[in-house]
Order: sequence, then C-alpha cells, then structure tokens
Amino acid sequence: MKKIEVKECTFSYDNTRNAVDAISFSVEEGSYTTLIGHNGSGKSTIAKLLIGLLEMKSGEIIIDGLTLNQENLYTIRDKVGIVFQNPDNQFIGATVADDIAFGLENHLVESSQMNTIIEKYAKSVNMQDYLDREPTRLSGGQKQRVAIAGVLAMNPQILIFDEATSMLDPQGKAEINALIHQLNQEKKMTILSITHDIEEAALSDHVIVLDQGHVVMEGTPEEVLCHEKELLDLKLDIPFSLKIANEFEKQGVKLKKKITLEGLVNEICQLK
Amino acid sequence: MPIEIINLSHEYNAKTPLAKVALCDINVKISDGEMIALIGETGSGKSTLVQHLNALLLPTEGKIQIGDQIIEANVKSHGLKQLRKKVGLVFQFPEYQLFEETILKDIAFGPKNFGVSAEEAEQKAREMIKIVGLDENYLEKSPFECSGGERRRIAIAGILAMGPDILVLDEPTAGLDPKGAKDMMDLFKRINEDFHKTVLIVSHDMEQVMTYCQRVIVMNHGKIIEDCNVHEFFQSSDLLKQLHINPPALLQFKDLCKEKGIEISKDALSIEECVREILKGVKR
Repeated sequence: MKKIEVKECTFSYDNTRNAVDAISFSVEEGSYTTLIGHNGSGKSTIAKLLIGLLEMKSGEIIIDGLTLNQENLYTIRDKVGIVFQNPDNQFIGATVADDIAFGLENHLVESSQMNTIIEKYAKSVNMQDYLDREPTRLSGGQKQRVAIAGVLAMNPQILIFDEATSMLDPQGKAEINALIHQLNQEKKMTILSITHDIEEAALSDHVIVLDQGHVVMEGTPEEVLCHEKELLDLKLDIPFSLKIANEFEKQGVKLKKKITLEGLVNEICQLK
Repeated sequence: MPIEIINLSHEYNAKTPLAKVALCDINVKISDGEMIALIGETGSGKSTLVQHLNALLLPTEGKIQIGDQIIEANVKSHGLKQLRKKVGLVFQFPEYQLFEETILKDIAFGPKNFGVSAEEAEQKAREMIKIVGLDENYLEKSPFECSGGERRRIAIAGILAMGPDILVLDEPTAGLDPKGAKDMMDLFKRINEDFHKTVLIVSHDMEQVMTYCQRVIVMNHGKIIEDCNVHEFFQSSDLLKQLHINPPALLQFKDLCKEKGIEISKDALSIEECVREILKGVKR
C-alpha cells in the first residue's frame, strides 16, 4: 500500500524557477525510502510540502489515503513526524523532559499521563537517563535523539528525516542511523530519509534520486547506486564498495556489484 | 609564519567551582605551507586549541608563538589585532555569519575592519570571489539569494580577503553534498599549494584527511596523543576505533578482508594497490 503519494507536484519560491517541478513518486507503507540529491536539488522543499509547511502551486499529495488540503492539514500532521537538520534549531524545552513534553502539551495531553509518555519515548531513543539535562550539556546526536523522541510521542505513522544526520559527528550519525533502522524494523514505521550520504542510502529499501526538482532515477539501492557516471554528474557519489569493484574490473576481474563492504568482501572470497 | 605551541594548557572558568581543564600541556610546531588535519572526538579540545591560534582564547598556562608574536599565560599581549589578520579562522557553518546587503560588502567587511581603504577592500573582494570559484556577477547579489554551498564559499572569501598566512577551518565541508565537499577540499588544497598558505583543518571525515592532508594531529581528552604523517597514521584502524573515529572506508575494507583471511599489507593505501595485492594472492 502506498503511504505517501505525490502526484505532479510543483512549487516555486520566486515564480521564476520551479524548486520542485511536476514531481511524482510514492513511498510504500513500512518501507525505508531515501530521497537523495545534491544541495539545491529540491529535497528539503519536498519535505516541507509533505507536511504542509509550504503550499504547492499545483499537484496533489496523498498521505495515508488523505489528500493534503487545508481541511486535512492537522490530521495529516498527526500522522507525519519530521526531524530537521540542525539539532540546535529544534530543541525547544529547557530540559530533555520538557522538550519531549512540548508536543504533548500542544495536544492537551493530561499532565498526569505525561510523565509516563515522556519516559516511554525517552527510553525508546535511549535517553531515559538524561531527562533533567539541559540541551547545552548534550551532544548533537543526543539532541537529535531527543527530537526524535518528541516526534515519536505524537505517535506518527510516518517519519521524515530531513538531513537529520548531516550536522553530526560520525558517532552521532551512527547512533541516529541505527535508531532509524530500529524504528523501521521493529516499530514498522514508514521512513522517508532525505540525505546526500550515499552509504546511508545503501542501507535503505528504496532510493529516489532528485535533480532540479525532478525524479531522475528510482529503484532498490542495488539498481540505483551502481550508476556511477549519472550519480557523479548529479554531484553525488557511489558507495565505496562499488569503487573497489570498479578497480577489480579495471585490473581484469569482474565481480558482482555489491553496495555494502560486507557483500563485496564475500564476493572477493568466492574468487579463491 | 610558523607556529610553536609550548606547554600550553587552558582551563575554562579558572579559579571558580566550574573550572574545567580543556587543554593540557600541548606542544606542537607548525611550519609554513603545511596542510594538517586536526582530529578527535567531539569534546576532545579541538575547537579550544584552534581558538588559541588567533588569540580568541588565551593560554592559562604555557605559551604560543605565532611568527614574532608571543602570547604567554598571565602576560598582557599587544598587537593581537595584527595577529588575527594573519590567522584566518573559519568557524563551522560560516555561512550563518553573513550579514551584509551584498556579497561585495560582506567580503570587504573584514579588510575594512583592519583599516584597509574602501576601494582596496572592494578590490580584494573582486579577487577573492574568483579564488573561491564564483564569478564577479555574484558581487552585487545578496548573500541570502545563494545556495548553502555558495554562501559558504562567500564566507571563506571574506576570511581570505584579510590576507591571512594561516587558514584554520573547523569542519568546512559539514552538510555539503559529495561534489560540494570535494570542490571545497580542492579549493583548500589550491590555497595551500598555489598561494602557499598553511592550512589546518578540523575534520571528522577520514577519507578527506587521508586524501588531502600530509600530517595528522590527534586529540583526546585535551591532550595531543598522536602527531604523525598521514601514511603512518592510516596503517591501522586500532587507534581510530579506540577514539570512536570511523576509520576511512579503505581501512574498513582491509579489516573485513583480514577477518576473512585475505591479508593486505599495511602500506597499501589506495584502492588500486589493495586490489592488486588481493589479485596477486588469488593467482598464487
């Protein structure tokens, strides 16, 4: 079933150039989809259109069977949680607990229930020991995890990550990527992750490549990420394992294309 | 302009209950024209150290000599403004610091502040915009019309316009797409090689460190725990793992091969060399 459906959607910031140009794509329920493209390709604009932070010029967006319009806007926002890029721009509360509580307060959750909910979701991102901490005493990765907890507390069905790891150090990146996987695998949440990290895209089920507000390629990571020339032309990159496979080919040995290092090394072992 | 740091320590909020030692007995020499990577976990003291290089922070113990200027703990220093002109510090996400109406004014702001005439500052801006890979048409635009990658270039042009001998960059490619990051690193290499400036880069990206830098300085808990040539440094991933730093993909690949019984020598530091060694082993 399609959880997100975007049909011929167009948006322009200045009416001279379309940041998103008659784009169509869909995200399957329970999938982990990545949307990749260079800086300025329209990725973040799409994220904002999906939750109605920007209003499209033409086209249609259907989320969980509901058409995005003025009437459905708040119902749809209850279904879709979004985590943005900058950990410092989305920490609102004075402490971790306050921050997770922010959305709950807006939804008029009884304060007697709130602590239980806060603890539950702090635990789900492994931040239960930090509830009284102030944001300045947290690392970037920890702040992003709190942001995720705040979003999870709203009980969404779909999570959008808009370059949520790009400002984090490698440790923070690994933490968040592991959490995204867990939410997808264990909680069966539909994930749409916007990124230009190719190794991250290699871990997803479905990859959509954007350029100038269009979809230019789409498929499983295996299908999409091996198109070296196209990806480099799009200011992106190919997974490191493919670079090695290409070198093998140059030195006269053809290997099956694998997009993870583990897969590649297994292929190399077959050579013996 | 060489830099020598001697027994430098820095304590935040010294002599208060909140005192915290951020740097402890640092000794480093940096020669003219080097391209160096400064690496370490978040919180290891990299930013604190970097801020000493143009006296935004002053040592609480020890001293630092930059060119002829000596900054010593507990001794009042003069001429720090001159020093700040010579050491250009580019903070993380420098594009957030742009503020002027036009790019021309923004780039010219720094040199004007250091007493250069308006005409000369504009002249500098015209030169620098080209060096960072944008053309002169940009100068009359507002910086806020530009993309993130372009804005970052403009911010760097603003630092270069002050004519520093040493360029210090704190994670200059964070948030850029792969092509943007590569272009940016190529730019620093050009600034290093063609303009003979010393470049010090704080980075978490080991691929970049391996590809672009000659020397690696590793910090951990406020101390320098390794200072060596890039080739030596990337011979094994053990230290990196201890420091919670992601080894470059090539080292990860070599480690995986080793687990499966495929040995690749430590000196093989390019994809090409590794593949050649593996194939040699297979044919034998």
